[in-house]
Amino acid sequence: MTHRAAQDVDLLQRFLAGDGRAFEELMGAHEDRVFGVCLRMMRDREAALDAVQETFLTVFRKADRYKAEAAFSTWLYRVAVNTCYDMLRRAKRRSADAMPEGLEPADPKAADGYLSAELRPDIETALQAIPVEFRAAIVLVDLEGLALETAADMLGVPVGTVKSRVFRGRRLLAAHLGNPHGTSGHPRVD
Amino acid sequence: MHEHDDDIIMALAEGTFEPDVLAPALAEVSECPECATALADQKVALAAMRSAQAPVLDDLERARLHRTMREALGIEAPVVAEPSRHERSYRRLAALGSVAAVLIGVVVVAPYLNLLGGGGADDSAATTTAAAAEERAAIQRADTLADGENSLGAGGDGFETTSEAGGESPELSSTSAPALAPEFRVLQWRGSPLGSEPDLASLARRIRLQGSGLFAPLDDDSAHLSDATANCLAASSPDPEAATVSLIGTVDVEGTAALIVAYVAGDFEEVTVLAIDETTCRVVAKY
Repeated sequence: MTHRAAQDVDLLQRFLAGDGRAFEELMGAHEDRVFGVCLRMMRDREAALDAVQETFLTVFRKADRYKAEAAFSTWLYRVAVNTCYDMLRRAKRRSADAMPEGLEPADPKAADGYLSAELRPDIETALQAIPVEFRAAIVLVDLEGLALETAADMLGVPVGTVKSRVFRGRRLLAAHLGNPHGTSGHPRVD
Repeated sequence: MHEHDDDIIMALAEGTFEPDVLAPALAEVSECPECATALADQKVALAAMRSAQAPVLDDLERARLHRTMREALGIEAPVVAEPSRHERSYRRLAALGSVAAVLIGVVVVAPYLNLLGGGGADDSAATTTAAAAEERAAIQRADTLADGENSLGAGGDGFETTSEAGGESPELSSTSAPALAPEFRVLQWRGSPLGSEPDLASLARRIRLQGSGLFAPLDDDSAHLSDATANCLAASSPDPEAATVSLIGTVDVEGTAALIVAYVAGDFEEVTVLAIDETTCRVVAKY
């Protein structure tokens, strides 16, 4: 167990024993990375911040269910990714309820999102254009630099599935970015 | 292109091959045009991802996150026994005692200090002012201990909590879990002039933040509901997997009453908030 992982477990135990400050400390250690994952998934900062809040609220409510079989961070990011999936699903339902497909109004926050996501606008657009499962795999592996095994734990899928999603997700990204060397067109999604 | 080629291509793109197997792998890929294209795709995507900087919260976002979580921690932290009335009186007395001690210090000791140190009238006035400030702070601390710090109505986002039983704000101290108090469950849109719509998304966030468990499950309250409201809720029944359904209250949307309902469902016990038109019983918003 790494020093950070041991600290996380210690903080969680202190929190469960009634020390609210320990939770704040735990949050402070992970909030930027959780925000990074959520921002890549949700695109705009406001939605990402909401997702971070929901993630920590979920962790806060379910802290007693954490089993130290995996690192706390693995569990935390799994909650974060699931929270983002859920929020994206809700947003999609809302926009589908609101008006016919293709007539959604432009998101006024999207322009800020491009700038604030610390990604080039074309990369950001390409990332948002690929299926959310592929995006999650790429965010965890290529942007967060996690091992395939860790990402698999976080996403709750086999390692082979993550590897396949990363591989195919990268091809889709390249197609959206206009790979100057390739002639791949749009790779198959599934 | 075979599936095992994917591994080779990924490893080539990531540069994780050992030198001794690199040349054969490159040779294999170069013989397959599709593999070469796939490798180029991998490299383009990887280079794009690697050019990204890690985003961080800015100061305002961080402050907002921490404030939200502190509110949640205050509301939902593990239960610590409320101080009894006797203990609260004792704490108030103790706080007042400390104020008295400061005042005695100012009145009795300060003149001697002045004699020794040669302080003037200005110093004395400053000391008295500081003592008065400390007194106010101590009394405030004592009152805070006695009365609790947070109330649901203090969110400042346009919603207030009203008590059906009386006019007092609900007491939610920072160290105690809230007792479920059905009389505090009605949220009302505050000051909604014609043409100004309540921010339902904000309300939903707030309910989610506090957890629907804070509010009485619908079953406990159904006896108090009008037939029309009960029928409406039954007609627009939420997720069948919902563990509990709570009627949070009503808001006025452009002159039409909307019932606000929260329920918990899903693996992560997601809180969903519905706004239901009380006239048509149609779900007008879902958060």
